[in-house]
Amino acid sequence: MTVALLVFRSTLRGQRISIALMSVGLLAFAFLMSATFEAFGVATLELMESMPSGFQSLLKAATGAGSAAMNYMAIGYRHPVPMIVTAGFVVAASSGAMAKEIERGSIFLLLSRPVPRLHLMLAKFASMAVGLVAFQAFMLLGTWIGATTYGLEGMDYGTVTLIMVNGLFLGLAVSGITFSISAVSSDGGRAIALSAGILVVLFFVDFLAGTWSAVEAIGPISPFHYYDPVSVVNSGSVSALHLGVLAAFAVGGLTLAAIAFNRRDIP
Amino acid sequence: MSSSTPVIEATGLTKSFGQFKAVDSLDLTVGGGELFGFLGPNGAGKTTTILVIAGFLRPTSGRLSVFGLDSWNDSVAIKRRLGFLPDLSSLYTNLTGDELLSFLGALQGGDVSHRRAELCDALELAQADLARRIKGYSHGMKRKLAIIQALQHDPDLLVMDEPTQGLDPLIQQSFFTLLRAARERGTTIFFSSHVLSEVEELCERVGIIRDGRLVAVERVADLRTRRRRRARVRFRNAPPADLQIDGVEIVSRDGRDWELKVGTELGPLLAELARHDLDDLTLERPGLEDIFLEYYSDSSTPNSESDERLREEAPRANEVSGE
Repeated sequence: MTVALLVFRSTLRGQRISIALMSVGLLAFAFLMSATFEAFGVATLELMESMPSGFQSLLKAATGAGSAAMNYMAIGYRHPVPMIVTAGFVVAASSGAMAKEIERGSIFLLLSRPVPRLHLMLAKFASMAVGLVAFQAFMLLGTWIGATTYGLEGMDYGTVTLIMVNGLFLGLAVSGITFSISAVSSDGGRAIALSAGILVVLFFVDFLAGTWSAVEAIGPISPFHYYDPVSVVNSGSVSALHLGVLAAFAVGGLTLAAIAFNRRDIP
Repeated sequence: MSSSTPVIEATGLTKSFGQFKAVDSLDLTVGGGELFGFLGPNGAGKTTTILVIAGFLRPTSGRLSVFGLDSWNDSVAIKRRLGFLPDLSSLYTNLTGDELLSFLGALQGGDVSHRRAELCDALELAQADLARRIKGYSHGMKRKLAIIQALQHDPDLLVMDEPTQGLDPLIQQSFFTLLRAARERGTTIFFSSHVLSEVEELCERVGIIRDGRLVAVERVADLRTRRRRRARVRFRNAPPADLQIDGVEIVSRDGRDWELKVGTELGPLLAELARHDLDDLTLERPGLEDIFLEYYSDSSTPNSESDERLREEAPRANEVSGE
């Protein structure tokens, strides 16, 4: 077994409880979204449509085509709960990948073995990616269970799957940013704070760009700009450009992280 | 035991952090099968040197090779033959001791289970302890685990930073026995310490580092021979007003009890003392701590902070050695 696979397995083992709990939480969230559709769904959509465009932009909730249930669920997928859970996991996992290992000194145990630094980083990334896939899969499962249980009409699981793919790519893009921060940090807490701060800024860049025409042009610098479940529902497809840009964030960030981590001193 | 082929070879090694030179123009060669002690107080540059050897730090200038390979560019190849015991290793406390050793052994490759069992026996780490999570371990047990992980794959080079911290004296002796056995098998051992007595007990050669500069590399026996002995004299009657002998320095006078430092030539002192009635005369070979302190106080750029710290640490060395 290669050393990378061993590190991957070990990291995943360490994260399995948090991945399981968060996955179940997201499943419950998606289930609750379905459960609340009958009571709040139509009213929520009407409320959203009556809201100023800025608020609609915040939730990317400008609905159009697609069934009411699909639009309601799409708004839910961009709700702060799944966004924060996913981003929080990515931030914690990526800071734990390198910065926290350095902070607690355990990196000396790992890297005193014949483990290339790049392999270590990729193994940690792969473990985090497994978590992201699990989150999206459980959201999809929760949606199906809830929609089936409560008889939601007009559900299109192909489109829901595309939204989950879009969400997975957003998570990977965010991890590109957070891994590059972790790769140059020696303090896990500082890496978490910096990553969280940058993500909040990028989230509000996307929000401002959607609400204020004067800064509309800066929207594309934020990865959140490319995650738009309602738009996926409306078009029935996910933009290849959006996926490509999110993938570029991920690959670019990881490349920077790999270069920095390979060249840096570990004091 | 040691062969002429160098296992560690530093040439003009310098490591800077910003403007601060942690290691400055270090030249050092450690041969195969040698047990080499690297001495210096905290902050002298020991850990930095060790981290360069283990490939965690890139030299700012100069070169450091291990097994003839570049310590930075070829670090993965070097680590196939390396055992490393870091200074403040923080173990994965959610794992059991057994899980950690298995994981690290698997990363190293090969079956290490038999050797691990021997080491656990030698260091008195019971199977029941290994089955517990590390978070419940005492500091000493964690230290034993850290030692085992460094030795379990029978490395060709063992690099250790302050390895005996937290070990009780009995386990320390078992650890020393393991090190001697490893050296018998041809393992090269490089370890840093500020506990002088353990270096004196174990090592053939020592390097003394101060403020990032290597101030001495010598065989322990040679150091002792060349350095001054301590003489304690008790005069039976009133002592002389003074002793004017080349190579002899009066350290203290307390009535009839005098303490002297004597060079390698004892003849002139003994001749002078023969002229007096003595109750007692003892000659002590210099301990490594005396030698170490001399190196630190002899420097033209004294570091009072380091000296002070060293003096504070010296009693610990005496306790262990029983000197």
